[in-house]
Amino acid sequence: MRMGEWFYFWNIGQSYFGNVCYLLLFLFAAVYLFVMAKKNKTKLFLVYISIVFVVFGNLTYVVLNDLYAATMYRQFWILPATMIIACVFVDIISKRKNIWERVMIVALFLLILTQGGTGLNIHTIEKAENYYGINKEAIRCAKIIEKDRQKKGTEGDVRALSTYDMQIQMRLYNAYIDEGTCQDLWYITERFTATEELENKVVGLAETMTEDCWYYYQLPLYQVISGIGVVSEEVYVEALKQQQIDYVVIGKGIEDADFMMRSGCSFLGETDAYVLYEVQ
Amino acid sequence: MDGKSFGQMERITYINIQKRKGDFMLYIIILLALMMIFYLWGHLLSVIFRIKHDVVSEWIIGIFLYFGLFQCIYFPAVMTHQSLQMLCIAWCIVATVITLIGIVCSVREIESFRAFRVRALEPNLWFIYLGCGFMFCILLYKAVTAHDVGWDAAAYYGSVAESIKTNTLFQYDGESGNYMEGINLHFAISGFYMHSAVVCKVFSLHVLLFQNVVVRTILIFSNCLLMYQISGGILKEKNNRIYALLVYMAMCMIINSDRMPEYFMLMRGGETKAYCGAMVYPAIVWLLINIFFNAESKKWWGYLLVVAFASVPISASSLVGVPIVIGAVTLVLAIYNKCVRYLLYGGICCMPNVIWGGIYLLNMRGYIG
Repeated sequence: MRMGEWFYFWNIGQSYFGNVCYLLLFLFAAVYLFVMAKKNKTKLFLVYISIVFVVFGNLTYVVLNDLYAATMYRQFWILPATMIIACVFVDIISKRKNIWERVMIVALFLLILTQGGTGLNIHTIEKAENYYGINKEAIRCAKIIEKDRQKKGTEGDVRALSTYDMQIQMRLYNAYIDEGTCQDLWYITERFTATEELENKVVGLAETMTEDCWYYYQLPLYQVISGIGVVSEEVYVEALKQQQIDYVVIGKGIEDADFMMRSGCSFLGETDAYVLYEVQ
Repeated sequence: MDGKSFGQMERITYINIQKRKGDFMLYIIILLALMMIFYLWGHLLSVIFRIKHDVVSEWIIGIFLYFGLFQCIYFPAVMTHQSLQMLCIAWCIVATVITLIGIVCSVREIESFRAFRVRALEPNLWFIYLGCGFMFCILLYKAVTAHDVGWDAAAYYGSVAESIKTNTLFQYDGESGNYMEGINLHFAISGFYMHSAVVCKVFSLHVLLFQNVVVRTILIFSNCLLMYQISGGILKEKNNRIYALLVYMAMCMIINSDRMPEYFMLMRGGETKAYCGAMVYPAIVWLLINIFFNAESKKWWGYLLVVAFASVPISASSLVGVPIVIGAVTLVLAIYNKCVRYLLYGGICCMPNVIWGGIYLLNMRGYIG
């Protein structure tokens, strides 16, 4: 076992709470329970200590490393840390008779709790536009495609090409709309956040592609829908044919109507942010 | 059946979904019906084993019993490549029979239910109940309207939609819709999503709405109840327990870390992982606290067995975690009380997960599925 792995749990512990304040609050609550507890509660605390030792211990990591070390942080879920903090907070408050002491404790508690580096979760949990939990635009696009699919009397699935987010949202809304590009390509390109770096990567990939490569036909499609790099009409048409794309959904501003028409695509419809083309 | 061609029946079903997906009231009715079924099943268990328990405990145990029994029907069906329609028929028969028996048993004890309700609600704490109700509504709203669409949602919810569309069980990849050779128990070992598929198919519901509205609401509700139960092991005064629940719910609104189960619950409440962190583990902790204070009571051990049995059917993420927790606590318990028998009880409670783990490993090695 490497030296770094001995500190695996310490590292994961730091990132677990996302904020050291939560960790400190939980440790304080645990110590409080231990100090203030009567006999029965000491027993209870022993249980938690044993769990903490087992779960935080490197033995668990070594044993489970091959199974799912990447998601090991979920082992920390066994500790109802939030409820323990809440209980200790209420216990402390209930023992204080002076109203100002109570106010001070509440204020201190709130201060510690809200010291997160990225703010409160009301800022980070994004609110959905509807109860489906997906974008309205995806629903609108899926409806246009579904209408056309039913009009043509297509029995099976259709394949719609778009950005990865749009693809999965349209598919979640209507399982008959399959994804046009594979996730792996999205993963390779999207993880480069800087536009220039992304562009270099995509263009670099395009230059080194050979026909037997998995991305040979995927990449031109991605280039068209993301507006990165230059793709010839012949390559694009061949890629659409090879990947059996039925519809292309491109964001307004990125789409080149003339290019799409020359490539044998016909206008199907549009939403506020997207234009839909039907592949002939 | 070819992966890209479907029969007329599936097409009709899909059209029905399109027509009825806006019927929001139907989701509320199904949510209430499921919640009632959970209570009835939990109550039935208490009646069968002559256990005296409160409504909250019965409701919580009812969920686990429900999914545990669903797994007993689902798992043979998925391993033998049965259709979703077959599973729907089998589960509807079983669920209806058990629920009817539960109704008969509950009608007899309606008076004790009323008595509990009167005992549980104290008039002088009405403002706290109001506060808890208000906070619960905010939590619910936050969870139901959370925007979370990524690969996980595409794969998990997609597997439900794909099963409904193709009338199969986990034979198609949820994300891409491609046909898969064999059953991948990494996803299919837990019957949770196929339960969603069954309900969606029977009532012609849209998968996203069912997962976002019904599944998330059940999780938030059960999590709050479980936290209230856990607080009983730490705080003795009943009033303080309600205050602690209020503080807990307020903290859920503030906590900002995706490593916290509460955050995960709000963000991705429709997924089994959230059920693992916010329902299965708290339930295990609640039962272990009770066992620690009353280790001789077989009813708590029995409940622990039910929860452990249903842990993997609800979420495969609890495959390893649940035995670890049970093992650690029973070891401490046995040493503290100098009683080896508790280790035996703990071992029995760990057995379901050991069996599921064995099945999973056999599938990974290619022996089954």
